[in-house]
Amino acid sequence: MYSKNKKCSQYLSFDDDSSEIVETAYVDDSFFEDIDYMLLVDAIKQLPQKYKDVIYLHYVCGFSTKEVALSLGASVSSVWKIEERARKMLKEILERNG
Amino acid sequence: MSEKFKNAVFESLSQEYLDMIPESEPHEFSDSFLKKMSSLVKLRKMPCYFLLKSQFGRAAVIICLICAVLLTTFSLSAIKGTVFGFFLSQCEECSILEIEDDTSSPQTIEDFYYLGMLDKSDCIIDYNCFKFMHIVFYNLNGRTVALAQHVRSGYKSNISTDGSIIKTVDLNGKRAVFFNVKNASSSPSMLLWDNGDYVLSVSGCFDLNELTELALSVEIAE
Repeated sequence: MYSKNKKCSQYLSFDDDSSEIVETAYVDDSFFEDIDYMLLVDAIKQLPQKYKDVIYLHYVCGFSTKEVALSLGASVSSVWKIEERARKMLKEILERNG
Repeated sequence: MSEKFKNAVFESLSQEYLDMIPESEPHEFSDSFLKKMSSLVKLRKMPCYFLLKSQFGRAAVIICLICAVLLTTFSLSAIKGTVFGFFLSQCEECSILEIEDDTSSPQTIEDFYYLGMLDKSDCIIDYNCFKFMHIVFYNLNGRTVALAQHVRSGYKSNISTDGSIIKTVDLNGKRAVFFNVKNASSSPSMLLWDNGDYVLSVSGCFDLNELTELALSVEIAE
């Protein structure tokens, strides 16, 4: 598991951060529907910068995964995994704060 | 992903990314650039700008200008020719009869002349104009005869001589001038002479012999 995540991180131009390697279990959209809006906003602000970049380009600018990958100089799979990690981290932050 | 999540991402991150954009410093353009731009803006506001912005339009404008210049030139030359032609024709087609001031002759009409061979009943109009001119119109078998009497002093008359015949005749030892405009008996003629006191003329649609006969019968009224 460790080697796999490490291999994936090599596709990104970001610095490797082994502390952020978490299991990429899918977080369902319905989880965020039940969360208070202001708690969600605060949780997004606490995300690492590279996670913020990916979700901002994807959800606000409307870029596809491929376009986000081109914009950031990363592979499509890396962008997809970063997005999943961001959702996972959001869930953790919200559970910790909530 | 739900709209709620998108809105949350937008609200939490937009200001952060906007702050990353460096503020642009205000730029001041040079005077020459501003002058060129203002002239360009004025040009674009002109109603005929759509004609000037394409090569076809510019060519059309140039052709129109050339036509306008040519038409103006031709019009001016035509007007110039007409005006000068009028004055030239007036000078060419008229003869001026003039007698210098003479204090020895009467300054006003004192003796009134009439045609002796015609009766007073033939007289249509007998007109004395300010004592300087006396005109009598007669009816001679349906034709009008005019006898004009002018004071000699300052006499000046413009007589149309365009295509006319001018003859000098002797009238009882006095020199008379005959004018016939169309060289025909049916056209107006005039016989004009100076009897020493007044300038007399007999005119009408008559030939030289008829006018001479009428002129010889001129006499002072009793």
